[in-house]
Amino acid sequence: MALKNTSPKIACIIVPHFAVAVERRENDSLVGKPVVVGGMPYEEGRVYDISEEAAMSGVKKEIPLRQAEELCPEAIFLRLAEDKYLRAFEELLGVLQSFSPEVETGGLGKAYLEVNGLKALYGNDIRLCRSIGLTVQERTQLEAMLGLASNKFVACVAACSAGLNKALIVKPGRETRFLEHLPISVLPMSEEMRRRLLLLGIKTMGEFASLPTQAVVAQFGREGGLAYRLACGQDERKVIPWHKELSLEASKEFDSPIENMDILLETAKELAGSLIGQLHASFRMCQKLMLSLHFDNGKSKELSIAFHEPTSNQEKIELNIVQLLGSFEYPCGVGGVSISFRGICSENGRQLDLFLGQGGINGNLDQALNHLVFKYGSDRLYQALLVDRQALLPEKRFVLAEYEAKG
Amino acid sequence: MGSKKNKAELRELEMTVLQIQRRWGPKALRRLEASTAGIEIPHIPTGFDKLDKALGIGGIPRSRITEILGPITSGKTTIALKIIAYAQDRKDIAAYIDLSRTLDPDYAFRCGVDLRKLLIVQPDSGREALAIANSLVSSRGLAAIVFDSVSSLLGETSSPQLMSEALRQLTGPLADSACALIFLTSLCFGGPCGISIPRGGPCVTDITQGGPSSKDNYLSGFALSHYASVRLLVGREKWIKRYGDITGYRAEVTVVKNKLAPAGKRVSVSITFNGTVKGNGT
Repeated sequence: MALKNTSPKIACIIVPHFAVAVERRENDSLVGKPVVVGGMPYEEGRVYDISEEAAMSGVKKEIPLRQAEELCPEAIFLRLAEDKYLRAFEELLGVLQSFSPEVETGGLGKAYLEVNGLKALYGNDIRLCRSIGLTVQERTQLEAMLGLASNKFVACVAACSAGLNKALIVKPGRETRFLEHLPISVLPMSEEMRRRLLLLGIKTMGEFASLPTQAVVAQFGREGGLAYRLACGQDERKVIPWHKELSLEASKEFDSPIENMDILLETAKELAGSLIGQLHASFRMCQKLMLSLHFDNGKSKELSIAFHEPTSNQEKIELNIVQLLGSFEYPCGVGGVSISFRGICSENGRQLDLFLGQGGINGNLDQALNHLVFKYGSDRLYQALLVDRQALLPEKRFVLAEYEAKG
Repeated sequence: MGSKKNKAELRELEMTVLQIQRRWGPKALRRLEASTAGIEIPHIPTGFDKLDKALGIGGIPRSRITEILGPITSGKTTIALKIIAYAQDRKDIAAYIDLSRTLDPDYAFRCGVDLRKLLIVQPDSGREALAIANSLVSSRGLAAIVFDSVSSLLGETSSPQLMSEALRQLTGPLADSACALIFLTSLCFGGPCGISIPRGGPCVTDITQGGPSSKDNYLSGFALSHYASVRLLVGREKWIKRYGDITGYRAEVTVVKNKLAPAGKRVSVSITFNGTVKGNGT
């Protein structure tokens, strides 16, 4: 039996103003109000995301926060919580993966889904789109726009045209007709090319697609050729499957709020130690360390550090924990602490040093010292420890402590 | 007349050199300064500028043996501790083999030693001390090892043979490491060491003559003097007083042996211990 040659079917799911949608999901009072995410208006930052209401007042992404306040004084300004948005987006991608393993991210709030061969499970395209939309809404509480077409570009344009909680399906062969009335601003192209097209009187994709291919390439080069193919409804790009970033997490809740920094530090190191053990056991390393504290007043704060290169070195991680704990503001006692390692990757990715590094040298030394302790006993090797710097007798200031074998 | 003859001789020499180089290659004959110029020998500064200059390479060499000898309270330990402090500059670890059990951590701290990066070894015997030194050198994880002191080997049976055997084993791994191995040797005024140090400064000839009569007195035999690349003879010149109180002392350091630069240089260093031990080359 010959296989039936079916054209690919790609769905595009877009949650508009994703950061605002996530904030509104947590706080209902923000619904229907102009919201600006990025920081407080007095801070020196830029706008990360805006709500539809703020956009109507002229606020745009990437403009300074002060300017955003001038344009929309009644807007509610929210601090940037990028990790939260990323987590929410991962949650969305996880939901989409329940339909098909081939999910690709197209930036925050946008995802492509390869939906070939799902007819037996979900029925026709309309039922499939309805099923995806309902599942996303139920499981993430986010409102999405959905487009279904034979390629990524058309699916994306269809999703943008669909509207909230709606789906637009472009049947195979109808791509050119769907795109022909849309403006050329939808196409990815430089400002210069757009300006020249407008000067030539070409405003819609249909007008652009009607030009001879060779003339477009001769005038605009490779960029023009790519835009031309998209305008004709041709997009050969495939869906590149996304894999969830592995992470390790450990947390501890205290019986009573902790105000002693040493106890907090020890607890954090203990949690990190268990996670480092897991990393070592699986020959993996982490790229990012996140530390969150749950305060007694019910509020939580989270800080993170991204390492220059993946690591599983206990000393390095503990040093960063000390640094992070020192960066927190402590309005009250700490009720709980949690640590997570993000960006877990294999140890294979590590570039080995050409020469023996300090770690290797110290490893050799530790090995030699352990051997000496084993051979001669622990009463041969000592380390001087400061006991009382102010002691009158010099011999009382330091004591010799027996060397403790490592490992 | 004489200058003309000299010129003719020089010309003849140059011609001979050219002929040799043409036949055997340019490397057959070359000037000594040209071959060694520009090569920096890995070293650890002593903390005394004048002494560093006198040593020729800027300090005591790494991967080699250095012997510091001198009578009691002459400044041997202070110089060794200063070297350790400089060795620890790059967060390296150093070891102090305290065979004589005389290390004062407080004094070491005042000399600038980071005690967290100092491993103190207190072996029971000289043989054990040398074996531990061998293991530590072989680990290649230490920047400097101080052996205090060779004089404590005196009670050991056949100490010259022991020393000779140990040093023969040490030189190989030491050359492969970046560690400076420093031996401290105490000399006594007419004591068991029997080497006479006249008042007014140490006498180089007395300990370097190495005649058969002094071999029995020189406790480690000639092994250490043979294997050491640098030998420093330290002697106390005078006490430094301030308003009648002793605040330090001046020590004279003589470079008795130096395989890396000309030997025989003599410098004075002053060691003051008012709170923190400071040393200056003068």
